[in-house]
Amino acid sequence: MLTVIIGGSGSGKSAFAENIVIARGNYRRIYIATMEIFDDECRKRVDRHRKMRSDKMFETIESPTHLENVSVASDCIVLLECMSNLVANEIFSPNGRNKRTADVICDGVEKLNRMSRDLFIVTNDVFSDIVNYDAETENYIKILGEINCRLAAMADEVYEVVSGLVVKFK
Amino acid sequence: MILVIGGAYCGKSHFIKSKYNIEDKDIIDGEELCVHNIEQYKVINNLEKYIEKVLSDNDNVNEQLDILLLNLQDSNMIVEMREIGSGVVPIDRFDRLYRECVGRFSCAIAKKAEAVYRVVCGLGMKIK
Repeated sequence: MLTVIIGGSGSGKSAFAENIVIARGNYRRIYIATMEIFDDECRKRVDRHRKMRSDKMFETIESPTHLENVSVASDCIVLLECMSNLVANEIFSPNGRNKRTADVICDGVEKLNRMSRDLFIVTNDVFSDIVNYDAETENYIKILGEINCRLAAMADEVYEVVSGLVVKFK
Repeated sequence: MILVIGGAYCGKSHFIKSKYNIEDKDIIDGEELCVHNIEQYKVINNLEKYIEKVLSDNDNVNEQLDILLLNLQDSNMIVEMREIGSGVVPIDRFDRLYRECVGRFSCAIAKKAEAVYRVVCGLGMKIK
């Protein structure tokens, strides 16, 4: 079962996502972290988050690109956070697939959803600004928008989080 | 009149086309819109672009938008508009004016509309 959770920065979407995973019960919890680690500062931040999540019994898998290569056992509940990082890495990083980003990510999600018990995806709302970005950024926003729509169409449930409050879209 | 609002690339057009069975020939883009040709269409896409055009032509914006609203308010038109008001205040003066104007006009349209939908990830939620 696939659930998509969208919200703006600081909306409380991560907390909601973690709680909904924990509420599913005592299954193995896998957290797919998508941030690319560039330096010590990133590493420290990641270590801190890992520690916080390990208290909640999450195991962390890092996947800044190539989501389709992630493999989990069938009894796992998986939380992927955050789609906006994964998309940025696929488009901009040397390891990324650039023009094929939307297809490779949607295929990866489909595969992971079939493989796991439940899959939760956190994504970011970056679409309601006045649009006068440079062409690269505009392209990134467009691809993230396309992926969000495709995942929402595939999903069983879609939630938006606003000020910590949850609105069910599907 | 029906208003459909949502951020960029959120599937607004797709939502309208599938919900109301609209074909491409029924749609006019805000950029090409003029008040006299409205009746030939069922949907106005990107109404914010019409506002941008009126603003950059330095016409009397309020008057122009009042005329547009009069033409729309009792029609069966579906109006699609982009939410652009949820970012940081733009540095450029024109952008600030444009952003404010789009927000205010969406309020005016929503007030007269018989239904308003907000689209997120291609899914529409009726908020009026």
